[in-house]
Amino acid sequence: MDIKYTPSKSPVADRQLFNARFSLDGSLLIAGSYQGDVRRFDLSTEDHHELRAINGHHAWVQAFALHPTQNLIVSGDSWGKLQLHDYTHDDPQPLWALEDAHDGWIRSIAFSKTGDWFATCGRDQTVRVFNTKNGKQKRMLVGHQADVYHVLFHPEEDQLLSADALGNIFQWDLKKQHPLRTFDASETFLAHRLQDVGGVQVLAFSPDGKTLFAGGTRPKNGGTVQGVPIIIGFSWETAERTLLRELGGTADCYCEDLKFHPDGFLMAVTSGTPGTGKLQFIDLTLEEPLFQLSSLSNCHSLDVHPDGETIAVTTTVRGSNGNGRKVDDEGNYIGNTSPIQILVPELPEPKNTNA
Amino acid sequence: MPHSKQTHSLCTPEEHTLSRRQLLGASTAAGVVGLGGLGGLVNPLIASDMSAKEKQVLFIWIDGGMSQLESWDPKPNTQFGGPFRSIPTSIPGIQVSELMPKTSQIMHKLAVDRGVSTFDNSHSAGVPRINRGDPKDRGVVYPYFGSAVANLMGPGDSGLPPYVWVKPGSGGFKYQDAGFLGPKYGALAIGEGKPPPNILLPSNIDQQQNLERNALRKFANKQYANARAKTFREAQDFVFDTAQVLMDRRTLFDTPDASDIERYGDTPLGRDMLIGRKMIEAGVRFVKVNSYGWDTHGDNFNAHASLMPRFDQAFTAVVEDLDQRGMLDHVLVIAMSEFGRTPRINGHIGRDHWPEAWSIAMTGTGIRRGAIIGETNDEGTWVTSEPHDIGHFFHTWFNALGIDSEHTEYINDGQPLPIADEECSPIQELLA
Amino acid sequence: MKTFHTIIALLLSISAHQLVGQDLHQIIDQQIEQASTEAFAEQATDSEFLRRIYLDLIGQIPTTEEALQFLLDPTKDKRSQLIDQLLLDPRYARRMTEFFNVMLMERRGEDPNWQTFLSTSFAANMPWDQMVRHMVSPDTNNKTTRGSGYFLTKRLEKYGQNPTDFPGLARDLGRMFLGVDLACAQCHDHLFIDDYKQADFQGLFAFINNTYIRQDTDYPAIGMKPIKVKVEFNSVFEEGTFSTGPKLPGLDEISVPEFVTGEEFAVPPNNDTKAPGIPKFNPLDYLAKQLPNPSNDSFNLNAVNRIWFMLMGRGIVHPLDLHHSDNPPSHPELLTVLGVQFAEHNYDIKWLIRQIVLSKTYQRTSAITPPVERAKRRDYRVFSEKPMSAEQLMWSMLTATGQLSHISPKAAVPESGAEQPLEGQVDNTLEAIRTDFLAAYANPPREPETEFAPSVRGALFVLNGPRVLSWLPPKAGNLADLLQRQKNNYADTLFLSILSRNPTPEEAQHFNAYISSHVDKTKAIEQAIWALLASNEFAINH
Repeated sequence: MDIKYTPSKSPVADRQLFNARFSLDGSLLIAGSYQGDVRRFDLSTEDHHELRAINGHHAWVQAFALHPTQNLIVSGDSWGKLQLHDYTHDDPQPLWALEDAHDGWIRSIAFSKTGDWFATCGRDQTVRVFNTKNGKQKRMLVGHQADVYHVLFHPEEDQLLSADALGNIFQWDLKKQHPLRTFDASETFLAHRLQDVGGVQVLAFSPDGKTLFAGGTRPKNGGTVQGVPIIIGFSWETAERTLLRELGGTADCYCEDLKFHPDGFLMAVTSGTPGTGKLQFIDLTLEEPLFQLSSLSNCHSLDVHPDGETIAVTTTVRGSNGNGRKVDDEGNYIGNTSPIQILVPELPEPKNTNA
Repeated sequence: MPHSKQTHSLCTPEEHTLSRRQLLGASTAAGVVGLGGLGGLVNPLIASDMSAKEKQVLFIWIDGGMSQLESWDPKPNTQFGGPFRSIPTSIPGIQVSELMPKTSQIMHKLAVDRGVSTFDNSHSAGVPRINRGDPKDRGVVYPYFGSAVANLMGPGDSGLPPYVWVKPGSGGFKYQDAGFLGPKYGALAIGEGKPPPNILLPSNIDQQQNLERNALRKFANKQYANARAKTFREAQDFVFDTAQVLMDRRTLFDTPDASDIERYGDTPLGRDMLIGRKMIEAGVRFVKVNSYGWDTHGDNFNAHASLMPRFDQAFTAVVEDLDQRGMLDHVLVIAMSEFGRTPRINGHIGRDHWPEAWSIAMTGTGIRRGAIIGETNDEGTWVTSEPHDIGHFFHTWFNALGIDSEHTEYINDGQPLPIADEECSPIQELLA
Repeated sequence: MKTFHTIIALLLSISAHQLVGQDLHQIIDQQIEQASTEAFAEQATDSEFLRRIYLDLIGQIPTTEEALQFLLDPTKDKRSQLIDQLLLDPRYARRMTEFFNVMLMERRGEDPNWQTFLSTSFAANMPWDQMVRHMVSPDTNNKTTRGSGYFLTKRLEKYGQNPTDFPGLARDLGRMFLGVDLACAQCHDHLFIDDYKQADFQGLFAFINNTYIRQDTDYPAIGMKPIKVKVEFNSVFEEGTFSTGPKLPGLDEISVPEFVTGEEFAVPPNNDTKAPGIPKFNPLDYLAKQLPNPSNDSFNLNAVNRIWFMLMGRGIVHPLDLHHSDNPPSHPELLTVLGVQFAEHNYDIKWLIRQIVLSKTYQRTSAITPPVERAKRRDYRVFSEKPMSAEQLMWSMLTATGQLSHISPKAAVPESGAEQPLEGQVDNTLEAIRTDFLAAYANPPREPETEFAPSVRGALFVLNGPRVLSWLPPKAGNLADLLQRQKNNYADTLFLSILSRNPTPEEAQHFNAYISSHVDKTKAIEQAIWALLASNEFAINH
């Protein structure tokens, strides 16, 4: 497939950003920052003007989720605080806030199908479920032996998936306290010297809910991590592995995010050695990707606009690594930012959509 | 015309540390295993300062660059602060990263300088430079700290080599650390916690027989020594003597108790730190324990999330053990890297090298407990107090060991050489 | 680089009468003795000489019989006869192969074709210049010599993620064949050594930076890509870009011809067989002519210096790869004469060795007794002790214990389910023995074995390692067997077999008493053998 794409203006904030996501109606781009807030960009303006931030957080706001039907955002930070906001307000105020919802780093948040509750996970090795309306903790699920990196609900069934730094994926039935099943993605983990390397970075379901995908790396070494980015597919029915796909070489490191395009193909972004980043569109029945863009620098997240066309990829600034002090003309130490690349691929007419 | 690309593989900064004398083929460097006579004599006029012979050093080398922002000098919730929180310590008003909870409880036993500012931001030049105290260029290759202490203070009474290096990877004799002092002051490396091969007396030779055969050997050696130069035969004698000592002390390499493993952590660093403690207990003058893998240019935060707790566990275990045994009175303990890590977080969520502002921790003999000195600004980018270079630390540590760092000299083939950077001086606030 | 001497000027400076009618070994002695006014030590005893010459020429100590025969021989010129005999011994080629393998390859690896090249060349006494020619420009049609390509191919192999180390290969060409280490002249003129220029390094680099390892042969072989451009280089200290074609220090630059694209090959590459093309211009052809050439002073001086080092324990230029104006030869005129005569004798290695070992300088004792006091090695007033290589230690310990005949033939490929050696048993093939000795005594790769650096590893190997200890108990015909069949005078046999000399009365008394006083004579004999094997006198080539 020869996909044309139009790079658009890249919204950029004065802090590095995680996870840029489109709001429900697609008019906003929302991203958590590295210093205690959630940033919003107004896509209806030509310059993608930044709106007032959602404050009240501490340090890294890596985890947030947008309600499936309402303009609500649950955000969690690396100190363990959770908040709920309406993200359409000019000056959003928390509908509720929980300081120590987790002990430390909240890694991922996911809403249930209806949005009545949401799940969180994090470095304290717990998975928790909360009531959206009032922020009350409904469940605390214990079983992981490592930092839990991602949570996700099954699109149809009331089942919760969580994946950790050792490559273990647990399936939880919310009525029970123990995992129902385990999916083995331990290939994403390597104990190297003193370090635990890898783990499952992201989970995604095929639209029909029949296949579970885990993205991560097959680590080669720790320190400055090298590894081959991989996607592992599991049959939802049997929990057996049905697919392993490599997205590049050892310099491409991590598969950071996975999303399905409305047209049915899988999209992935990778972040590798400095400056290395890819966006891939993948038909899982074909060996070669449908489309690959390698000119982006360290892609950390990926989202699709409700219009089914526009794509947002969080990237980094090329050349923003390096030893020693880099200062600007006034002698100030130069920080880093995360330009969000907005792409509008010109996809050809979809044929049959096989997920 | 296209440039024929050359990878400058030979022109590494480390090559530039080869001494002028070595390159000029001077006989010292080109000579034979230096024993007796050549190199490394301490100026006899200052010998009286060497009186405290039982002092020892445990030097923990965290190779690759531990992030000061994820350890000793956190700046939570700032632009460069990263995800982690800071936690209070046993010293009111002092916080460290949440990644070192055990260390936070023994902070009052430690001294930390957060105002370290050094010159080199590369591993290949930085590691040797830091280990040598970055002295001014005198055309010689200065010894690493371990070799220096081995030379200045001697091996002590243990019979073991003065400088033992406990590390992952290969073991064996690493003479390069010794620089101009000569290979005798190199390090005997214990790799992967394993003793050197063939350390056990074979089953068909008992102790008495071993004594007898060595007595015969030494008798034969006396005849040879009658009329031969010293250098070769002394080198031979030395390695046989050292071999015998290692054989006598082979229990140092026995599998540790389960309780010890649990306290130190069942990790490479836990294992090596425990061997380090045993070597110190056995009387080795200078023990270096290495931990590798800290160069977290990418994924710095997840990496330190698993690295730091393991360091935290092994470090506090050894400090507490030494303290309990009353050994902190005469053992100097140091924990450091070759530099810190950049405040700026790069594209693959890592930190790069940062010699501008970092931290060094220490405790033990001569060191003031609870001295947390040196400050960086709010963002952790620069040192705001008086910055300290590695030369300052060498002065400080020599003085903690009872060596007058400003007046003691090496005599290398007639050339007097300072033992620490002359432009630096001891850091009084760290000294007891 | 400056030429260090011009041959003519130096020859003129040496009085004519000194050269005419003099053998080289006499010139050596004159030059050495004239250079110092202090006392010189006496000539070595027969035992000293015996052990030394055996180790140096055939890489092992003499057997008990060989030692006895020599020591009892009353012939006046038995030393020269022994020299000539050893030079014709098949073990000479083995020794030279071992020594030059370590010197040229520095323990990087092993290759049977390379071994064949070395051993057949030394056995046939191939001149040194031809050997070097084979190394820099291997002849793939010659099955015996083509393994010479290993010198280049091993250095072209990549390690891990590193690119091909062309600079390392250029550097070693300078070190091994010209006696200069230009490593620190890659990015700029050498900071301390005025003679070493960046252009010199780059000129060497230009000979080899288009080579590659061939994939279509089962022996080490290189190919050459067509060269289109000169090597360009910048100095990190100076402005401007410079360029050079292949160029040896002190010689003219070889111009790189231009070819129309598609016409660079005399024989084009064959993509089916993967046979490389033969380019019309191959700088190695020029290297093969200019480097091992009588008019190349550096080449000559380096060659003789290395052979001198092998025998004397120290180069006349030392270190061997750091010849420059501030590190001059200890005896410049001597070095020049050696270089001139070696070239004049067509680089005949055996001839040169013979001349050196015939000299009184070589045959001097290493014992220091008054009036001689502590002497610098560079004066040669006392003979230098030399370290023993892993190979010399291996052969010598095998010989000393009478175990040469007990080496197992090479093991056949074991069938599945075949027995492994039982625990406690040792694999007795030569390969296994060699592996043990290299593990105990050889340096890691790329660390030259030029200085005496004994290791604790080696000491423990002798103390407790099963290998050497397995040679102590009596086996048909070995030393312990011989000794236990004697009833007395053990010391004579012990010392002759292991240290190649007779014991002093004190030593004899001590060792005989030790063995006699033990009920378990066999064990005592093993202990005594071990003690001498582990002694300093054994481990040092004195």
